[in-house]
Amino acid sequence: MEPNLQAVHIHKRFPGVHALTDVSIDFYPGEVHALLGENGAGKSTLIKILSGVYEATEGTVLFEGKEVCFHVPGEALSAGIAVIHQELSIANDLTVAENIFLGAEPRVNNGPFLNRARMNADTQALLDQMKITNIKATDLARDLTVAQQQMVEIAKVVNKRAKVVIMDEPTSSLSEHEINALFEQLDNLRRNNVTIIYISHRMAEIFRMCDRATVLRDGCKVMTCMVKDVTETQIVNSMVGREIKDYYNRRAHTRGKEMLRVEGLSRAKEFRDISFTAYEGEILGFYGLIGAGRTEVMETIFGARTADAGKVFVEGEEVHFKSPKDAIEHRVGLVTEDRRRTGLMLQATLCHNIVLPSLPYHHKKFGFLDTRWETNIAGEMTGTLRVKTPSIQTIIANLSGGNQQKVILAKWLIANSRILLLDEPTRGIDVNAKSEFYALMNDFVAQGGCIVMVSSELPEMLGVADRIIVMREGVQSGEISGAEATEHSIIQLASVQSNV
Amino acid sequence: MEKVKSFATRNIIVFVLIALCLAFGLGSKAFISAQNIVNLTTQMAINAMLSAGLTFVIILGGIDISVGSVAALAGVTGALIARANPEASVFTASLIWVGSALVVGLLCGAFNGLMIAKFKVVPMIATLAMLNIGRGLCFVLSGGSSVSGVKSAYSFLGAARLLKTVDKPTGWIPIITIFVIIVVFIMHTLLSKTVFGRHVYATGSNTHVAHLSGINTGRTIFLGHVICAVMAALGGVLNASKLQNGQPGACDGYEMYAIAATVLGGTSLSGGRGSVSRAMIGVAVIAVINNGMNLMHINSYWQKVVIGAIILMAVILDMAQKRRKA
Repeated sequence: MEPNLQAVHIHKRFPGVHALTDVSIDFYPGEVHALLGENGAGKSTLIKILSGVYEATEGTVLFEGKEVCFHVPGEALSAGIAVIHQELSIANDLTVAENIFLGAEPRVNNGPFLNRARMNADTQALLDQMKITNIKATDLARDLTVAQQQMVEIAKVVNKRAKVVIMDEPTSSLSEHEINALFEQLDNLRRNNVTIIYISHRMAEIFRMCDRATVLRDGCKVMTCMVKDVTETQIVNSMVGREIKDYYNRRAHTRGKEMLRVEGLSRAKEFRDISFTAYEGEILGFYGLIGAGRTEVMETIFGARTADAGKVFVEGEEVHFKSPKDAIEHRVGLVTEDRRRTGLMLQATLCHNIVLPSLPYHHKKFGFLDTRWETNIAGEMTGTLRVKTPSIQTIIANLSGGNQQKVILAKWLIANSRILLLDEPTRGIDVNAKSEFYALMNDFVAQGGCIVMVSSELPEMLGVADRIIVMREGVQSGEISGAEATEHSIIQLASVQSNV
Repeated sequence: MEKVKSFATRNIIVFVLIALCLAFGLGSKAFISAQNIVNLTTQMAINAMLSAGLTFVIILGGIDISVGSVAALAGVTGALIARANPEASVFTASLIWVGSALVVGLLCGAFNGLMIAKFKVVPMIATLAMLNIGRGLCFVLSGGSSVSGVKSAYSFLGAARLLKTVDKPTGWIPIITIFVIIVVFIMHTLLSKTVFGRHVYATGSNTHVAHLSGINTGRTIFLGHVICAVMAALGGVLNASKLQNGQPGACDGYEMYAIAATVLGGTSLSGGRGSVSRAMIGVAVIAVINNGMNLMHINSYWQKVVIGAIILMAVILDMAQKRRKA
């Protein structure tokens, strides 16, 4: 059989970064091909080149034997290469049919008027053919669950008769039985000789669904193999490239006094009746699928959202945080999940970012800035946390993700936080930086701090947390001590049961 | 090399200013006379006030197009009070001007700030409303004609000069220039040296981050608009004092000059970047262009066209720089 999509000696250089080095991969029709690698290994750059978002600096992309050069994503799509991103591209205020036919709407006699009747009928026929029964053509996309929206995206690529479908972390927000439904659809696509390029961090899925796998590391191809010929450990080792000793820097923590107690915290449509206690010297994990309401809980505790009901106690004393300012005064800090949007002032200097929450407590008379204190503390903290930066006056956008994350942590350390709420603190940073970050978390806890960590990465949860609280669709579904927790027990608590 | 290049791009407006001065200087001898340079500073004065205030709002990521109306409203209000108190000394007269500017500025700024920070009205629309309300009130208060009959004591702030000499009996150094330099310096210090100023930058560069870092972003935005309106009102009374009357149609379109100056000075319309001192360079550029065009007898209708084009160019430059960074 001939490959239908080929990457041939692809190089991609960005200013200062060699993102891809001589990557060649053949993708065959009717295979599910896993693309694996740590964050920053070059997976996204590669799929962006395959789908026409970027142009390769060197090398060619062959599609059905012919060299192609897509300038805009639309061209790749009309040629038959579709991408389903982790963040789904669904227009919320359009119906399912309108979403599926977006940009290719049927018209009455090819005139200017929309043929809505035909669009709805065609969509319904398509959904029936795909045996999707819980979605109707006229449903509003807004009213669908994430899993249903994903089905709409798949229906869209089926409708476009795409020959290559690239899926980026498609299961990150799905429950077990939703994953099963997704895999059935992927099976159908495979039977119809569609190539599926599948990106995921979940090893179990790779072994269950994929035929072949390619591992990237630091922009280079490490290997392409038949999935059935390798073990999980082999894949992980080739992704990381070395044995990481004591990756999580696990340390015995001594649990001290109560630091944060939450009782019956609720917020309409987001979460209800959340109760837990976090202690000095421990890392409390908060696990759940995306959309389970973990971020909302953290932001509510921090005073960025208002609770409808419930109480929050800091060191045994009831508090009413009306805004983050109140929380900061009680020495609580929040590291948000989206560094670029809610964590940093990207175009400001490291120094300005790092001192921001502390300014009201460290200034001269009449509100004048104490710039000497600022440069001293910024220098000191970047040293202690080993932030790699040319200087403290560097624009923060120019630092790597791991270093940016350290700066955010430093920001709260300078503000004297004792309770840290960390929301997906290691998202999008490389393995080494992760390991260093865990060590910093352990240091903080060892010095009498308290951490509540939200994460959707199971290994991280198991490796770091002393206790784990699991959330499912806005409610607390269980609590497991770190020592007893297994991947299986956590997933069971986190997934919506199929009989519900 | 890299450093030289970045220095050049950051300070391109300074070179533009020097080039303009040279060009006009060569084109017209009158341009470089001491007389004209002093005149230039007085012409810059009103716009300097408006731009310094507007810098706060633009760094916050907003815009205020009501500054011209607010200035006029303060001028008319001040002139009405001035006419009612013809016996005032120079000192009282100046107090009356400044006092009416503070009151009008606070009220208008609070209106803008409340609409934007509390009711989340888009800044362009909120201040568009203020623009019309302010201008309307000018005509209501003045009955549609200019408020004249203001005694000469009231012209001290806007028109008097210090350092009278034999060959220049009216004096060399305009009071208005000194006044503006002091106020603008205070604004510059407020923005660059205080915690409040830093909060303005933080709120403008990322409201989420600022809020999550404990900054009361609503209050910062509110105060930014109050500062902007007070500065505009002060500019308005300076203008009224200079002319010794309050015209309901005064300062019409001045928001355009102020926006142009601020943006030319490198303040980003998307917020987070800029400074008062650099806005002053923008003010100088606008003043030099206007003054030069006057001296070269270019008709004033064309001058508007030129200023419009300049704003557009400055914004395109700003956006281009932004894209390069992204």
